[in-house]
Formats: sequence, structure tokens, C-alpha cells
Amino acid sequence: MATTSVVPANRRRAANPAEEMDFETTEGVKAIASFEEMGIKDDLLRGIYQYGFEKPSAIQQRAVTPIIQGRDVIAQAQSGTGKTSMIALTVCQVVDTSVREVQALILSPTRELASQTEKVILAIGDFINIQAHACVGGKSVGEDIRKLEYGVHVVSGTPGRVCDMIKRRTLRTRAIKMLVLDESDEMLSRGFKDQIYDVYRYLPPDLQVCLISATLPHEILEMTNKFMTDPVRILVKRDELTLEGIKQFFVAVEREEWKFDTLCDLYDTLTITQAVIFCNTKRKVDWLTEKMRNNNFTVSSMHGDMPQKERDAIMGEFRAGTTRVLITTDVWARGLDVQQVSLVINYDLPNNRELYIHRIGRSGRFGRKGVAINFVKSDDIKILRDIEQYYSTQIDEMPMNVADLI
Amino acid sequence: MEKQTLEQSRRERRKESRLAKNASKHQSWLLHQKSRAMKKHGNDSDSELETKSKSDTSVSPSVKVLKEAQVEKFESYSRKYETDEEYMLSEEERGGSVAKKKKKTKGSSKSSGKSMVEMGMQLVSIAAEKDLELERKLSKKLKVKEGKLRGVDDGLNIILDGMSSAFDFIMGEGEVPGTGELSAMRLKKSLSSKKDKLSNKRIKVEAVVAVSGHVETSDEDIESDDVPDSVPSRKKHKKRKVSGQQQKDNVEDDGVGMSKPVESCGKEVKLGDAPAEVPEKKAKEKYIAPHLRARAGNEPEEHTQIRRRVRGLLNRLSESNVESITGELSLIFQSVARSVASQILTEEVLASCSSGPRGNQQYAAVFAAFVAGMACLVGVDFSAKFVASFAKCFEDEYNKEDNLSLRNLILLLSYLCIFGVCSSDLIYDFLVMVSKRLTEADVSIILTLLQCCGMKLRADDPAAMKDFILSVQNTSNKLKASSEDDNEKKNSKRMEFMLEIICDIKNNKRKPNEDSAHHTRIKKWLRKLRVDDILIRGLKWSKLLDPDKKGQWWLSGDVASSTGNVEEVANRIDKDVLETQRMLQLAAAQKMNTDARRAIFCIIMSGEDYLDAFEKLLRLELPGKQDRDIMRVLVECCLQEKVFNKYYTVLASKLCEHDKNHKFTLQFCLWDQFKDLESMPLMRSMHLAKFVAEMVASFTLSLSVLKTVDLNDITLLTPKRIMHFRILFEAILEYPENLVWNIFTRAAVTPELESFRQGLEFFIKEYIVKTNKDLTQKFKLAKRALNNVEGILM
Repeated sequence: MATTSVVPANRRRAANPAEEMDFETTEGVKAIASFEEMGIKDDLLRGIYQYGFEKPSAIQQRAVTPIIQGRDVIAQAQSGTGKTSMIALTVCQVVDTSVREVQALILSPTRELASQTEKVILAIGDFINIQAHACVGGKSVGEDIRKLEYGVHVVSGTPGRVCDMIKRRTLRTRAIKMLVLDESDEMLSRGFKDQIYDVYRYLPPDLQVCLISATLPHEILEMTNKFMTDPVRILVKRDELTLEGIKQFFVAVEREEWKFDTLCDLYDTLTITQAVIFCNTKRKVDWLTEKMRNNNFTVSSMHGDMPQKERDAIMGEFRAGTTRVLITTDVWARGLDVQQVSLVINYDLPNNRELYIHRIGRSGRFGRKGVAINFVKSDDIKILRDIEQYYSTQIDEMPMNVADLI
Repeated sequence: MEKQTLEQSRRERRKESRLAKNASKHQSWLLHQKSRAMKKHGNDSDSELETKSKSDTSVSPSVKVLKEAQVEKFESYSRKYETDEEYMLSEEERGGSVAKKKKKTKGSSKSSGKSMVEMGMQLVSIAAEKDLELERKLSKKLKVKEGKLRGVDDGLNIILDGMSSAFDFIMGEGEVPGTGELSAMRLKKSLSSKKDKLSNKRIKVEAVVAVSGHVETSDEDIESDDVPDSVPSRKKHKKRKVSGQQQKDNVEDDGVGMSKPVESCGKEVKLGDAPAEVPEKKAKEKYIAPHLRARAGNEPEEHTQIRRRVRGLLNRLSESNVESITGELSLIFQSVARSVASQILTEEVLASCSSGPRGNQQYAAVFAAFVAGMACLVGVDFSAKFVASFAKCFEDEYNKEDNLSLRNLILLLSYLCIFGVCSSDLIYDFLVMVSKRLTEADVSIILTLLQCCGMKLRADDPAAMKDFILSVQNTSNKLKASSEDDNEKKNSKRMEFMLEIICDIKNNKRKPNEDSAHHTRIKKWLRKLRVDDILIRGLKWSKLLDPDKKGQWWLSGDVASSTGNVEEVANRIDKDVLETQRMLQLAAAQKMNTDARRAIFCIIMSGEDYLDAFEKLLRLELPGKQDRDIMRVLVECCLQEKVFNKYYTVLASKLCEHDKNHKFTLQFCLWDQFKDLESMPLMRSMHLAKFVAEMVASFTLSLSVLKTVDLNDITLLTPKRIMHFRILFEAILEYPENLVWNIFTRAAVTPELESFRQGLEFFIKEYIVKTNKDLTQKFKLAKRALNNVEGILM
């Protein structure tokens, strides 16, 4: 399975401030306040409204138009602000549905994210007869071959399986005109870079490339010069990544054994629609799942060891609302979109700082405030303050009247 | 009296001249002699008075007057002494101002001179004042009877005053030659002295007034004089009182001023307290893990605990555990007062649904199922109060323009209807209200609601759906007419989507939600709890928002009115029973041998009008081919009437409009009837002919319905058939010309009907025109219409 990248902290901190100034939002990028004004097709508008969008988010206002116009784009925005639906929206707009060939390729670091993107494309494109296929590992190769030979407009996949399909000549690339790298910082890190390059070699030379992520370290931005042509940069400064829409608290539980009591008490204190609880180990996920079920919670749990079908079923349960709690490791942290999540609980603090923003991005979507609560043991305080400084954000100790503040 | 006064003045003049002559000789000696003369004169006057009083008792008034004069003299002396004291004080001050001894000596001499001059001036002024007073008194007394007597006294006073003034003038003249060098200085000093005199005059005036008061008070005999004087004294007292009151007011004002700063100090204290409290609250209400917690809260402890338990359970609620959680919550409900429990539960459910993130249908369905289950377990009042709170919450969120919250609430409302908490008429009332506004938010509301439970609403009440659709179309047309281009662009997309969904529902094209299958388990559970019993009917949205509703407002109609209507209801029930029995008997007589046919028969025969019958027939939703019985029963009822009734033709037209299958069924039914023409009674045959004529005239059917009948073959035209079709065509030809033209033109368009058209001409010519010459013109018209291949309508 894909592992999270661990870039040495020294490199990141030693980045040259003067060079950083070169990577800022491109001038002239205008914010367009409604979908109608973007020139979206009528049938696509119908799908957008049916999906539940009222008006475009900040990143959608700025990034959709340049992408539709065929520009290379680097888009950075915090989690929960509509990046996945932006990808789906632009792909549906650009693709010619009368041509039964792959015209857009979306690469994601995880299977869940690739499937998620496929589902959003199908949902938004409900009225335009778009064919999308999730080309991910863990599923039948034969099924992929049949689907691709049948003819689809969009492929959303993980790099390994996509590269395999290209080499088998099943996935033909001559009509591909758009490549989207979702979670670009992960995709372009050491783990995936070679696979990305293998895929890139087969694509047409006049390809449009779009990079999407919540975090874009400096070295990634430098790398983009090699394969992007005069990209439109829409960057959000790191300081702004976590401030909007998400309230962050910590609870000093002092000891590991007291976390569960605190969790049950939170469920008596707050009004929670659906919650995601993050643990750092698979064993703890299983343990907590069992314990919560004994407390009459309807719980889904997921970690990396599970087979793909089981993970899909669990995601389906949680997304449909059959279960209202999802306990997971960081395998689920990136980019997945469940609209009903109102609370993220870090039962364990994340092992590195990048994971923190991906975790808490699960709540606070569609403009409604989300809440993130961190359970902190005595020796975790230092880690929490480090996260605070890194993102220039504020994590307060949770007050007694937190239910009223939310 | 006047002569005496003149004499006295002459004497004074003589005395003055004499004294002046003597003064030229020796000033100091003259002064002493003058003073002695003054004393002597005084003594003489006293003696004279005594003698007069002793000699004549009749002159008592004059005696009193003289006494008054004496009193005045004494007073004048006291005045002089007072003025002297003042002069001494002033002299001392002036002496102090001069530093040099020489000047002091000179000053003393000067000051003495000044004082003398001043005394003289004062005397003059005093005299003038006295004269004025005397004149006043004279004026008063003249009004009184005794005025004349006082004239003599006035003369005496004048003489005395004249003497004193004469002395002053003499003294002034004496000083001038002695101190000629210092004339300039004297002038300056005299000027200052004049100022002093003015001020002194004022003081004297006041003193005179006071003195006069005292004098008059002493006079007991003269009552009339006292009255006017007492009044001014009273006025003075009033003024003093007024001034006293003013002082009191000032004191009060001071008090108010004092109190105000006190109050402001209090406010400042309060202001100071406020910021202090905030950090205290924050400090106190810091979150503490449960094992470290201390209790605190605003609600009563019991209510707070209940709220926490309720919140915890609702946070766990899902489809798989909705049954057990509802059971637990119903136990909590019964452990507290109903109003408290109802309020807490309602608030928590609405908070879960409205304030969360974008919810999905599953979430709304589970909470609606919970409300339905609670209503079954604890009573309808729970769901009624919940729906009322829901309406209020919805209006609040609508005013806040929180679209996300509105959507969540609408999904909840949809599922409350689906699970049978509230009936569809409430939803329709709500939809009609919303459709009259049709803002962006309203369009979204209607979209969400129809997407979720539009088909159920249509199934429950098609007529209400029709009314709603008309309302929406009217409002949208008005908006289009009045809106600007920009607004149109913005609204048109979403409005179009809404109108499309409405059309789909209207035309029954929309497929039921696939999700409905997922709720089978919930519906089974609710059915087991007998959810049908808790359906709330007859509510209006405005009723839910009415703050004045009382008692069990959710029951249909008010309690008082329901008692009044008991008799009416009983009568209706009785009538219904009787009519039902009668209908069943008729159905049996008419050989309605199946339940479907009996139901159709009863509906047709008991319908208020053709629309009522039409709608009820649709609601039967007869499966498969049973709906063909509708036309068969309808035609049978029509043919059995004693008198032809157009009701059946109108109903048949309505049914054929609605569904083509009814048209085909009707056609086949008529063909079956044509086969029985030989054995058909005459009355029945006539009704059939008229029925067909009406169907053709209303364009429900075409003349081609007769194509199965061979009108050409004379051997097949039996007398009964001839009679039947004669009646039919005569009825047709009786219609207006344009209608006749259109009816026959319709048969002319189809080439395959050539033989049929020839048959029509033959039959009408042979059997109708020959016997009824009046129809010749109509026949010619029909003949031309039959050849109208182009199909031009009139």
C-alpha cells in the first residue's frame, strides 16, 4: 500500500524565502460568483444543482474558468472547499460525450479517492451521459479491460493500475487532453514520482495538466516547471489552510485509559450528525470499534489491511448514513467527501503535521462549520503546539459550553 | 389757612435776611446763638401747644396733629445722628489712605467741611422727601373728611425745613473765601460726595417707608389709613415666602444633583462588574474530562441530565437501532412531565436535523421514523407539538435565509408525511403557500419536497396536486411577466428544473424513489406499532404557526363545534347507510355480479357530478383489464335510463380524454351493442342512438365507429336497424351546420372509408330525406362534407 511521504524537516525549513516569493497566485485570476456565469452547459448545471451545490466555493470560483479554457493550473485549497467536485465539474465540461474515447485522466494516490472522484463525476454528470471508470488496484483486471474497451470518457485511477492498463494497450491515450493530479504533493513525492513519469510518457505532448492539493511544498512547485507550461497558480497561503469553517479544540485527558470515557461523554454533550474518529494503529481501530458497538453505537471501521470490497462496502454504509460513526486510520484521511460529517475526533494525534490538515478537513463542508477535537495526553501537548505553530492556527482547550459555541 | 401759611413764609425770609447780616460780623458767635435760638424756638412751640390744649377742648384733632409733628421732629434728629456716624467711618477711611501727616491734618479739615456740606445736602433731600410724603398724605386725607385741618400743619413743617436749609447755605459760603487755593480739589471731592448722596437717598427712601409704617400703625383712630399699608406688608411677606420656596427648590436641585452622581457611580460600578464576570464564566466553564468534572448548569439538574441522555441517544440513532432507541426514549418521556419531555425531545431533534451539515434522505428518514414511533408509543400530542415546533423552526430558518438548514428540514417534513405522522393535505397547504412566493429559496424547497415525496402526494390527492400545479404556474407566469432580464437568467434554470419535475409528476412519468425499498423495515415496524392511528388530518400550516391555539388543537375541528355537528354527522351517516343499501340493491338488480362492477356502479350512480365520479373512478385503480368494466357499466347505466341523461356522455368523454384505452373500450362496447340491435327494446335503442350521436358530436368518437355496420346492403337493413340509425342520423343532422360539416368531414379524410361514405349517403338519402324534407339542406351540406378530402373544417 502507499505510505505517507516523510520529507526531511530540514529541507522544508531551509527553503529559500526569496524563491518562495516566486510562487504566488497568478495575477488576473478573477472570482466568478455563480455557475451560470462560468458558461457551464445546461445539463451539467442541472446535475450540479441536483448534487446540492448552491454556488461555487472560493477555489471553484477561481480555478474552474482557467481549466475550462485549457490552461495548465496549480490549485491549492484547504480540505472541504470543493476540490473534488471542481475536478468533476471541469472534466464534465471539457469532455465531448459523443466521442467514446478516454479524454481525461485523473490520478489519485489512494483507491478510495479515485473511486470517490469517479462517483462525483457520475453524480454531477447525471444528465450528460458521461461514462467514467475507476481504474484502481484490488479490483478485477478483466473488469477494467471490459469497461475500457466498451469506451469511457473519463478514467479516475491510481498510478499503478493506470500504467498497467496503458502498457496493455487497453487504455488508449491518443484522445487524452487533460491530466489531473489529485493530492499532488503525495503524487509527486518519492513514492509515486516514477509511476507518474511512466504514465506521463505515454500521453500526448499538448496535454493540459492540473495539480490539485491542500498542501504544496516548495520542492513540488519547483518540479512543476519540468512538465507544465506557464501554469495559472491559485495558491492559498499555509496560514489560511485551517482557519475557515473548522473549530479546533483539544481535551486534556491526561491518560490513555480515559479517552474512551471522554468520547462517550462528548456524544452526550454535542449534537453530532456523523463523525469520523482517527486512530493511529489498526489494532486500536478494532478495539475502539468493538467497544463502541457495545455502547449501542452503529459503527463502521476501516484500515489498510481490509480487502478492497470490504472497504467499499464500509464507505457505502457510512456515506448512505446507515452508520453514523467511522473509525479509521489515515488510509481514509485524504480527500474523501462525506457531506454529513460534522465532527472529526483525533483519538490519537497524527504522526506528522501534514496528516493533521487532511484529517480535520473531513468536517466543515458546504460552508457549514465543522469541529475537530483532539484528545491529548500529557506528553502530547508538545506535538499539538508544534501543529499550531506550523499552520499558524489556534487550538483552544475545549470549554464546558462547547455545545453552545458550535 | 392759606394766609397763615403765607405769613409764615414771609417771617422765614425776614429771619434769613437778619441772620445773613449777623453772619458777616462773627461766624463762630453766630453759630452758638443759632443753636440757642433753635432750642428756644422748640420750647416756645411746646408751651404754645400746652396752652392751646388747656384752653380749648374742642380743638382735640389739632392737638393730635401737633403730636405727630413732634414725633417727626424727634425722628429727624435720630436720622442726623445716624448720618454722623456714617460720616465718621468714611473720614477714618480717608485718613488712613493718606500717608503724610500734613495731608492728614488737611484731610481732617477738608473732611469736616465735606461732612457739613453733605449734611446740608441731606437735609435738603430729606425736606424734599417730606414734602412729597405730605402731599401724598394730603391727597389721601383730602379724600377723607379731615383733609382741610392738616393744611396748617404743612405750613409749619415747611417753615422748619426752610430754616435748616438756610443754615446749610450759610456755612458753605463761609468756607469758600477761607480756602480759595484748594478749589480744584474740592470740586473733585464734591463729585465723589454727590455719588454718595445718591446712594444715601436710596437708603433714606427705604427708611422713610419703614418709619411711615410705624407711624401709621401707632394711629389707632385712623383705620382707613392702615388698610392700604397692610397690603404691601403682606405682599412683602409673600415675596419672602416665595424666596424661601426658591431656596428650598435650590436645595432640592442640589439634592437631585447629588443623587444623580450617586446613580452614575452605581452604573459605573455595574459597568465595572460586567467585564469581571466574563472571565469568571470562562474560567468556570472550561471543559473538564468526565472523571475530573464538577457539575454546573443553568437548567434544573434533572432537566439537564435528561437533555444529555436524549442527546446521547439521538446521536446514536440509525436505522438499525431506531426501535430500541425509541423504546428507551419513550421510557425517559414517561419519567418526567409530558410538557418538559416533549419540549426537550422536540428541541433536540430539530437541532440535530436543522443545524447539522447537509443531510441526506437516510438521516431525515431515521429521525422521522423516530418521531412516528414516539407518537405511537406515547401519544399523538407528541407528534402534534413536534410538527408545530417544526413549523416555527422552519419560518425562523427561512427568515435567516439558511438554505442548507431549510433543505434538511424539508427532507424531514417529507418523511414525516411518508411515514404517516402528518397527512398530505398539510403538505399541500404548505406547498401552495410556498408556491405563491417562488423566491430562489422557495424553488429549492419545492424541488426538494417533490423529489422526495412528490409521487406519494400525487397518489394521495390528485386534485390537490392539480391545484398546486396551477398555483405554481400562475405565480411563475407573473414572475416572468414582471421580472427583469437579469433576474430571469438567474431564476430560469432552477425554475425550469422545478417545472420539469412538476410536469413529470403530473404526467405520472417519474419513477418512485429506489430508496423507498430501503425503508421497508421501518414501515413494517411502524405498522406493527399501528402508525395509522396517529395520522394527523385536517391541519393547516397557518394553524401550526398560530400562537393562540389551545387545548387539543390537533384534533379535527374544535371541540365545541364538533359537539354542535354531532347531529349533522349522525344524519349524514344515516343517509349514507340508506343510500349505500339502496345502491347495492340497484346494483344487484342490474346484474353487477363482481365487486369491481358494483363499485363502479355505485360511484357512477352516486357521484355529485361527472368530475366527482371521474375522480373516484380513477382512485379505484382497477388492476389489469378490470378498468374495461368502467365503460361497460357506464353504457349499461345510460341505456337503462327511462329518460336519456346527458350525464353519461359527459362522463364518458372525460374518461376517454384521460386515457385512450377507455376510448377503445367504448368503441368495442358500442360494436357489441350494435350486434344486439335486433333484440334491443325500442327505448334502449333510442338511448343508444342518442349516446352515439353525443359521442360523435363531442368528437370523442368519429363517425367511423359505424364502419362495422353495412348501410349499403338492403337485405341487412331490418326495420329495427333502420329505425335505430334514423334516430341516430336525425340527431346528428339537428346540430348546427358547422358542427355537422366538421362531423362528416372527419369521415372524409380517410381513403379507406370510401365504401362507408357511400353507405352513409345512400342511407341518409333513402331513409331520412324522403321521410323528412326539412333535412334536405343539412343532407346536401353533409354530402359536400363527405367529399371534402382536404379536411377543411368550418
